[in-house]
Amino acid sequence: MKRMTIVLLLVLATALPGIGQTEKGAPVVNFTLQDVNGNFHSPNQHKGKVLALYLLGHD
Amino acid sequence: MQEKVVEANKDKPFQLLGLDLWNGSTSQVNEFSFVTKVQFPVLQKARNPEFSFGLGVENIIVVDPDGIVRGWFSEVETEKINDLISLILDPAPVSELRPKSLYWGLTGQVGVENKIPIKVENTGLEPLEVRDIRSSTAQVLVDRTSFTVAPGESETFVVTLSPTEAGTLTGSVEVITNEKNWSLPIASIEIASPPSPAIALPVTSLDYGSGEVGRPISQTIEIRNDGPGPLNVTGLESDIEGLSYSERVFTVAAGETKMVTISLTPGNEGTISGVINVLSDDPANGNMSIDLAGSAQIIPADVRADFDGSGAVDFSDFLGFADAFGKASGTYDIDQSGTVDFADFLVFVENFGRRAL
Repeated sequence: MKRMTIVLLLVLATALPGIGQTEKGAPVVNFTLQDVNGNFHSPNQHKGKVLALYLLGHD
Repeated sequence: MQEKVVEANKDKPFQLLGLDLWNGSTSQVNEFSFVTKVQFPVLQKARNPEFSFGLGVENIIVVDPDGIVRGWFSEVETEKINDLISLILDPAPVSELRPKSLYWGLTGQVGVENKIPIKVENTGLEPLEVRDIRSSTAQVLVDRTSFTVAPGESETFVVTLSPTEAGTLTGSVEVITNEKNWSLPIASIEIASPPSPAIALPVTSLDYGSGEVGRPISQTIEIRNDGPGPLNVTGLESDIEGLSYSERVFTVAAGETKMVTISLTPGNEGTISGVINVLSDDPANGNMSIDLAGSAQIIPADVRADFDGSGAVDFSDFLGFADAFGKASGTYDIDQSGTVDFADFLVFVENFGRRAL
């Protein structure tokens, strides 16, 4: 039962649009992450350009 | 998706980043990138307790050059994504109107108004100026003709169908903005005349008989509405002096009847004749007349009731009578019964207002 609840909460946290920290008219979530080549990326780095963040999932 | 977005924006200041929300290993991400042929950096470990996007996988967040989120879309909505990118790089208002046509049904009626609110939304990034809103027909009205809609906001104006004549009504309402002009077609509507009233007067002559000058006589007339629409009586008029009416302006519902009491107080002795005109909005009988006849005479007062000898039976006589009531008084005991009582009062009332000739 506990595992099921956790799974459901995880699904909700990732599947529901419009909740969390992404809000129209508000600054984008700040992060710094590495790509597979070891390069760091953050939204600030791309200021001055239109940035599209593609939320990916794979098996 | 990626090809369409990348290709459409390759010559623009634009960057696409993939974020791996499944937190796969480097080899897994490499395999994914190879299989799906991604043409953009894929960032690892994007599902992180330190931040949350609040969105699931296969969503794309579009951020303007200042780092402000301007929208997010499903990955299949490439056209919307590209439109928003273009809009961010070349800001402009974008208008959206709902509804886009004016439909009040197939039929309407003269005098019966109907409203449709129109929502004007600005989905663009610059103020939308609505510069004019005009109707092609005087029977369709708008409550506003100009306003400004801020980016991301909406305003409403109301279009009112206000039919004034029967027939087929068509046309359009034009909305002029600084972005584009809209034409809202009016769906053809058949306007019918309102149901008419039909006045009926069961009695067309009133005989007041023989009355007394200065004393009112009343008669009641019946005004009936035999039509399917409401009857508005706009006046009761006569050139005969001394007439008064219980009501002169009123409405009689379809199929209903109104009783009106008309009192005549003759001012002079002699024959009385004339007409009473009943004015209404009945399209066929807007002015109907009732003949009035009668006569009046002066009846002299019983001098016994003129206690003070003033020549008229009036209020000063009443004061003396009231004071003497219940007592033995030769002056006020009109019937000489020995006491000023109710029988004397009846005689006094009968003569009240008369002149002693």
